Amino acid sequence: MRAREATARRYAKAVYELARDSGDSDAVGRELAQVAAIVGGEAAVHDVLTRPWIKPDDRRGIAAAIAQKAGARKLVQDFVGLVAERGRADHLPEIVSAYRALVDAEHGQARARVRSAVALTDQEKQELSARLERALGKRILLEERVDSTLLGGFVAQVGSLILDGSLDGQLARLRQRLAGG
Amino acid sequence: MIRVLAIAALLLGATPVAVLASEGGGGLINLDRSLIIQAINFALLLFILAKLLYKPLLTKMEERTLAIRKSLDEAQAARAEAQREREEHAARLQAAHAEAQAIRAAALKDAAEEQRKLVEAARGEAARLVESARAELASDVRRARQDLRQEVSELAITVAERLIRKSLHDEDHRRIVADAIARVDKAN
Repeated sequence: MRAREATARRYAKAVYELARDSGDSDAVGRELAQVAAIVGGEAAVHDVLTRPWIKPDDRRGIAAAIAQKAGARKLVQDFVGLVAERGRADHLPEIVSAYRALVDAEHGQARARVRSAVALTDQEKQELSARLERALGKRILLEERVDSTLLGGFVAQVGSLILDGSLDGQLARLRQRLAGG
Repeated sequence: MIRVLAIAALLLGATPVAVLASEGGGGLINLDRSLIIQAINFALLLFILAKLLYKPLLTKMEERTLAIRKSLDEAQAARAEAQREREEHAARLQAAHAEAQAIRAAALKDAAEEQRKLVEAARGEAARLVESARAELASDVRRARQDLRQEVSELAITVAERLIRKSLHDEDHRRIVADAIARVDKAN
């Protein structure tokens, strides 16, 4: 897993440096995420781009065509084509994450992945972002998703920092205390 | 020899009496030259008898005496030897008895020592088993308590989760979220 992430970081860094030089790092990031979503969402496309017996040139052409179809710029088309040609199309989600991390570092911001039992209101999001920004000293971008398995509250993750404000976490701690005597 | 000469003298003395007694008119012995011839005959006879009969008889008697004495000596020696052997056997028997006693005593001592060791080992083993059983029991009790505590906590939390899930309304969610947001500063 670590090797896979390291590989994804190398690809992400390469495309990020090109995008930064052209001043479109944010847009490139969005387009990359869009293409990755298409590749990951369509099983047939994913299979074609990851099968080793399909010729590398064909994989490259197909990937570039998909990116073009999605309206991505030339840099993204070439990059996705290169990734597919090298047989790393299954690394796209990790590449997108690594790219985002680079962009975030550039802008001095961090992403907070928030899982909540019910959708957070705008006010709650603002409040949470503000508190996280104060706590971490960075601009925070909230990525929220509703997790119906949670009882109540939310779990926020910023990098390696996890803030557990869920009822599940409280119950888990209570369970641990009870079991530990 | 002396006895033979005495008997011969007696016979010689008695004969004239017998001759004179029977003589009234001539007996067997006459006091004349014939008496001298008879005496010579007698001496001659005595000599021959002594030479041919008495000496071999004496020799035989002597040999017999010697044989008897030798037998007696041998019997004495045999008796002494038997006595010596009997004493020797008695001594040997006594020594064997003493040795047997010593062996028996040593065996009894060894057996007592072995018994003591066995009893000691058995006691040690029993103590070890008891201690082991006690430790195992304590461990089982601890494990059972832990399991029970785990189960009770699982049960309690599961029940709590169900109750919470049923009873939570939107305003509760909002309050929980607000509390959690308020704790962000503290958590950091």
